[in-house]
Amino acid sequence: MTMTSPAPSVTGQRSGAALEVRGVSKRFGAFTAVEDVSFDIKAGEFLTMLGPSGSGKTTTLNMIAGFLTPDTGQILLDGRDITAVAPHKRNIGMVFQNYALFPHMSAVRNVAFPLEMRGMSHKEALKRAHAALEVVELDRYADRLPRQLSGGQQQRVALARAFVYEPDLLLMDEPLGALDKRLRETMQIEIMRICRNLGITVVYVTHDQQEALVMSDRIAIYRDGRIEQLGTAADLYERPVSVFVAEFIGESNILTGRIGADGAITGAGWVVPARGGHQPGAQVAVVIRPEAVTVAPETGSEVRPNSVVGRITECIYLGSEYRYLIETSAGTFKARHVRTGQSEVFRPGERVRASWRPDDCVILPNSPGARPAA
Amino acid sequence: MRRLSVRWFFLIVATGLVTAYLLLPTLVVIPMSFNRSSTLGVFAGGWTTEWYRELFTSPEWRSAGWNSLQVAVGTTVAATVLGTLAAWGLSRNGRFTSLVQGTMFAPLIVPPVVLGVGLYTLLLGANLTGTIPGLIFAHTVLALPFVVVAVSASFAQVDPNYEKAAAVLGAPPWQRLRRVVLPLVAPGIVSGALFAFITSWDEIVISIFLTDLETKTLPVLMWSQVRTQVTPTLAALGTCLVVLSTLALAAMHPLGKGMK
Repeated sequence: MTMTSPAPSVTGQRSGAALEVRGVSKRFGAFTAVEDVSFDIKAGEFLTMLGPSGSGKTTTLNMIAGFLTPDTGQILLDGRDITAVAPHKRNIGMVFQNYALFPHMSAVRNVAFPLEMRGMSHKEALKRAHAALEVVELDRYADRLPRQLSGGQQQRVALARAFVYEPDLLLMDEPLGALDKRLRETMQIEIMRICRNLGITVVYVTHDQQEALVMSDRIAIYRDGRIEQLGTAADLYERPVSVFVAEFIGESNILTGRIGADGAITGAGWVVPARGGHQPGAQVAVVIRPEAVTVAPETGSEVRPNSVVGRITECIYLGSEYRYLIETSAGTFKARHVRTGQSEVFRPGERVRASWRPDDCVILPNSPGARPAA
Repeated sequence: MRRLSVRWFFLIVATGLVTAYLLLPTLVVIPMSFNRSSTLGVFAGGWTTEWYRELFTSPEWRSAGWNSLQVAVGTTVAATVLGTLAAWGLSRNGRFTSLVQGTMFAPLIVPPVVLGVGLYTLLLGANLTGTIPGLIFAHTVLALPFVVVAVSASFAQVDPNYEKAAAVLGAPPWQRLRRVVLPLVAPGIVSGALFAFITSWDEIVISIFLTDLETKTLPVLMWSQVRTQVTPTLAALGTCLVVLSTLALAAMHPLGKGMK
């Protein structure tokens, strides 16, 4: 299953195009699927659109592909306005969730199809299609029909068909959604490798945050038709702009509190010293990642800055680490501890103090549906 | 054991009776077509192939057969092309889908006599009564809904992503239809075309309105012969048609399997 073929000879060292999406909106009747979405992707960049289903990521993808026309806004590919260009004139590649391989054509005929549509001779198209199948290590299965291939093999044929004609941009709509977990992980690496080698620009849609973290240069988090935050995986994880993003990417402890007159944030049994930037009296959320939490024996139940006391309710052994659930006055607190020889292991029922470094917590506005300031 | 055999006995008898009821009217034309008597339905106690010779040599029957064939082939082509395009469009579920569909299926519900009168009036104005193109036009109206139904059923089974994929891969609309959509809906098109052919080949009500002496189709000629001459040639023709249909059906069987 491992694929170590060299960079494909089918394509030159041509890089992908830059994509610009400017203020794009799309409504279906009374439902606003996408609202005022804007982003830029550099040539060769891998951008993932991540979000719950119905949050507008697939609609955005369909507008980039040309299957839907935006109500407002523009889409530019290498500076060329393609908003109103028909799909077959855009030179974009696309991999569909269920692959959409033509069932009446063999694998190699499927891959040759876009080349023939570009006026290439039948013979030359087949030659290049074979070369593209070599890149995905499926040359042996070239003459099989899609239904004679496994899900993973169909996936790779679909990938070869999408890059064989050197599109300016490659779109992928949950391409791994139909595969089992193991194969999905293999294919994640495989897709990354091929896309990097080709230098192609990729827009990838998924609702699997792990997949997004593994594959992307940058991730756009979608929520209710808008982009909530766009940034690198580290940006999103370490500096989320809203509680929604913090909850969507990775695990987090979210404490809700209020800013006092002195600027300190106070909640049930905890206090975080003044941080500035928020109005006194404002409701805020404090986000702390479980691995940033230090667990120590309780040495007094008084309120101390950047900590909360509680009782261990669960201690889960995960080989490389322990996970604790701690019942506190501020709710259930999650903590992860890398297992080392010296570290002390706490048992359910033990009283502990969970603390964090001031730099490891993120203060966010906490109003229902709160959005980051534009 | 005993009760079981009683049940089987009644089942077999009932099946036999129903089969006879369904098949006898068809099969009875076979012995009649070889019957020496010159009046249809009266046995004279001898056998002959006289009526087949007459069927194939009489200019009247030959001309009617030729007319029927031209009309049926013309109708098949027209209805299949129009119906397939219509089904393609309807498969996209636009704003007027149900309205267009309803209009298209109207000929299935409207009594053929009414259609006959209406078509007669229209074609009279266009000077097309008593012509082959006029008949093709009229039969296409009848055959179109059958093609649309058959091809639409095929379209319903084709994932719309195939067409999207073809588009994004660079195929203009015509190539999408030719290279991707048509091969996938081919089984529906073949059965739709067969329906269209049979619809036209069997049609008599509207044809009575629209044919003249020159353009009589087989069903129209049969009908007028029954009323005037009652010749066993009718039985000979009937036998030929039964054999032809059986062969066509048998040929369709492996074809249908190959499509899947």
